[in-house]
Amino acid sequence: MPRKTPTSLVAPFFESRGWKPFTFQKQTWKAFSEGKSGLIHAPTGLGKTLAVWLAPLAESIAENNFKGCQVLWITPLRALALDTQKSLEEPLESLGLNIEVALRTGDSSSYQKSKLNKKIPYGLITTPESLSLFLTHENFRDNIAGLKMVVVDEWHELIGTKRGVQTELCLARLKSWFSGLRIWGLSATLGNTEQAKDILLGKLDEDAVIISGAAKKRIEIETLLPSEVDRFPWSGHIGTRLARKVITKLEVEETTLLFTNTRSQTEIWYQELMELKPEWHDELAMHHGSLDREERNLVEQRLREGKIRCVVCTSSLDLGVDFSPVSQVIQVGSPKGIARLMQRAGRSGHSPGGVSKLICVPSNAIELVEFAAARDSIKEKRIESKWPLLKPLDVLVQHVITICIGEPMVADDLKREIKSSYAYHGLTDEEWKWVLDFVMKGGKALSAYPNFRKVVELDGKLTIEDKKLVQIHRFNIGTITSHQMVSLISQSGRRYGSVEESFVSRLKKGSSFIFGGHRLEIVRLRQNKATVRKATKKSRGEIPIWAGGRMPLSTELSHAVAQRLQSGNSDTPEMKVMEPILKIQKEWSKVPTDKFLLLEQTNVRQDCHIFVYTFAGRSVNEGLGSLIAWRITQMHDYSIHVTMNDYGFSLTAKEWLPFEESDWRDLFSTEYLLKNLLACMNTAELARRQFRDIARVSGLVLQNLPRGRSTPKKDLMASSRLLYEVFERYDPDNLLMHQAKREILEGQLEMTRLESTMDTIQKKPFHFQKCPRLTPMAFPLWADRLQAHMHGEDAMTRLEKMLQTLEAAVD
Amino acid sequence: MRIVLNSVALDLLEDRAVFLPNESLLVLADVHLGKATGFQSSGINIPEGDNARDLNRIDRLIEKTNCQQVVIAGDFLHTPSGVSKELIDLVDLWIAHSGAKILLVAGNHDRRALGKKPDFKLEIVDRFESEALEIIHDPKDAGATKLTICGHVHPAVRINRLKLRSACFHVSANCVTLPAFGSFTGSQLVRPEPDDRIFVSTGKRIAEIPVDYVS
Repeated sequence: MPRKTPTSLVAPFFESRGWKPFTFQKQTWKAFSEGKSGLIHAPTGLGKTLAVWLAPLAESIAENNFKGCQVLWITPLRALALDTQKSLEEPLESLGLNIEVALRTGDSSSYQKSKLNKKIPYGLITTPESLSLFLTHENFRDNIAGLKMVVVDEWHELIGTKRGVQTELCLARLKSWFSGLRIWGLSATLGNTEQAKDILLGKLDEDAVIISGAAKKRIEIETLLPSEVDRFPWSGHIGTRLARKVITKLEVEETTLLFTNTRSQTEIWYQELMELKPEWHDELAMHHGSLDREERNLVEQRLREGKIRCVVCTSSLDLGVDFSPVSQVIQVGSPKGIARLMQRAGRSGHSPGGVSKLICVPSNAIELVEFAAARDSIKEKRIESKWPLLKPLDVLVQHVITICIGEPMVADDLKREIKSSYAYHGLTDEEWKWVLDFVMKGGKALSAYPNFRKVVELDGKLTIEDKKLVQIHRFNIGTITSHQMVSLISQSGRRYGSVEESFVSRLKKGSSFIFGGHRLEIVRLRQNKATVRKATKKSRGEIPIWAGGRMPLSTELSHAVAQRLQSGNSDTPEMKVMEPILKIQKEWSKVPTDKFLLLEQTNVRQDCHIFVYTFAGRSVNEGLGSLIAWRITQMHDYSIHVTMNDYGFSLTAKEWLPFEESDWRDLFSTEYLLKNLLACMNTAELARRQFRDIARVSGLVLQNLPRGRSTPKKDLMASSRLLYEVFERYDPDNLLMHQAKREILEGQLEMTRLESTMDTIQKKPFHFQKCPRLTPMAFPLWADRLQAHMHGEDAMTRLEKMLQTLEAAVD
Repeated sequence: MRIVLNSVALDLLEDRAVFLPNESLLVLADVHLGKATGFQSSGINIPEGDNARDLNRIDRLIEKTNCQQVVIAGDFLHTPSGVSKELIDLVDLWIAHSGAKILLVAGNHDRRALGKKPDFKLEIVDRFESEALEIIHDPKDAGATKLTICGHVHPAVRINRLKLRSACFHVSANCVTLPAFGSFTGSQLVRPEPDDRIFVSTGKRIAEIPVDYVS
């Protein structure tokens, strides 16, 4: 009898639905049956899940073997796990299979957890953190002895993050256990799909395949246009003046997702819609990451049942979950990136072959251009790349301990395994030795840490003997750092969600704030619990600002915007609206593009302003602006304020500022770049903040402690700030300190992008323009100037100055 | 900076201590020696140089003020696992060589840390009392009449307009709460009442901050 093809083996499922498998699904099954690993990229909702899941099922059917755990499914969001479980269970019945798919996430009950530590069913859905945790159990290897396949879902979300690196390390472990293991990633389309595959699979896997989702999903983009252009703001990012037009869009469609860029904007837009349409009270909902989990589940449930007209949400609804009834998506404010906009658009028409409808709502003029530019880029398939994160030593420290707990290992074997991952393929012997010293001796600087013990060598193998330490480590596996959050609970015990401690502590007694659409006031605050009640006063109330910086515009999108401005075509509705604004820009100055560097000088009252348009994205402009301001202050002794946005930066001084080409060529020089940047950015302060994450991942700061320990929790708590200072005093060459500085330079200041921006600027012609008034391009930078003061002095000097003023006032 | 409370002169010192010139008394609180050591025995590798550093800082204050006695207002030690042999030796040597009499008013951390090891050459009392004042660990045990100096709280304030957080001396009625002395200690924001007084170090001097400037 000829062997049955995978397609014929899973055919009953497709027949029961009246579907036909897509070509890419058949390709996947074939590649899998040939023993290959791979990456599937396609927009959401195109059947990627079925493509990978049916592959091992077909093989098991052919072998008639369903014993033990054969498929591990890694998902980045535990909120998605439940939905994934449902979709994996869907085809089982029609295929006549009686197998189980279990869930193991941080949310699982302790009964479920201990059950899975003993026996794991055919399929297991888990998160990178929970998978690491499994690796600390010595029987895990035997429990998954028949493993065929590991699936990494939403791989694009993990690339470039520490959680992604943690996943890479776990995969390296699994690969060294099971030589024939097939690894498959599911990803949205990226600019560097080939590299995304390599990052997932580690060492070059010649046979691995990339499979592209077949059906192309059409995206229709429409921008809501302001009716009175001359009164449309040139800057700002919360404007709700198009809210009435949004209402008319909500009226005609069944279900809309309205995406905003921040949680605060979500609250503001929800308020605004409720005020305009009180009769929609039961059909409007809100969804953001700070709301209580149950509240969010409820919203998701109602959304699935088609009972909601509109959900105002943040990126909390960006991923995974299939909400088929969504008929349109609205994006409020800057799209920030092309991939992100496509992802959001993909939430509507969420079925194979459907059309995604996207309505864009600009909050200021330049966003009109951004939307037009995003449409161009989507058409031309210019999508952002996701870059890998290399050698974060804090993650390695954590992983080495994880491994030593689960299965004692010879150091060299462990090194070989770790170097087989993409993130650590360039790990040097010195770095490896440092990591070993760190976990065995406590550190390199002080040879005598008599009380330190963690990893020890027994019979040539690294292991951990102290059960107490094992338990502490298990409680702290993971790379997510949680902010100090305060949960909001009503007097009757209803949980609203949580806000940052810093917001609550700033609230004055009796003042109200808006949360989850409710106007609340605090009754009392005890540790991390705030008892709240509905505010009685009719005040508008403050809106919490959640931490998490503003996301910069992607390089690809800023480039597309520059091209849009350069072409000068008014061939789209957005650009037509922009025409009069760009005309003013052209009359007073020039329209900036990335073909030349435009510098404008305008004096407003006593202040001299210089505006420089780089199109380099917010964080590069932050670094660039500070660097240039610092370089000027080195020659002339006065203070300069720096403001930046995605398009450029501005310098403001009471005195004269250089405005000659020769000066500015020098100011943009890349010579001594690193040294100058370190000097001007107060990197010490930034690094101290960054160290928080590193300290948590490497186990220096414990986020959780097991209950019932004799040592009080507080005895083992220290702020990362304190730790940073101690290391600075006694162990300044600690590689984790270097990592903090590097993460600041690369992560926050985007050093690489900054350097290449400066290089390109040097190759461009400069255009200097004195303007009598603020131009449309300059205005947003000017209006923002009060938000971002750069202090030339340290805090203590400022304190001293404040005191002098105070004392002078008393005299 | 000198302030007078209940007719007692107090010199607030920049390095987080207070000197009483009339009594020739140096008072400081919350050193938390052995904190890093305690972390180490739980597998958290933090350098422990601060033990020696902080004892040195006390020596310098003794030299500077030329005081006869040092009273530590509690929490000299941090945790039982931090009281290593090395630490006991270090402290004993320090006591033998310091130019002043050292007295410890036991704090909550000391009681736990000292539990089984009473063999320090350190004189330990529950409270220090003289005609003019009392020194205790926890401000909630303060009597009503005398000047009280205490620790325990690790007070700090945030100066709103500078977005600056700083450890502080907190004076409330006739009670002075000292900032934590130890280098490896955290702090806790206090909310002063309108009649309270707050003093911080600017790095050059001690200065009073109006209470409506802090949150």
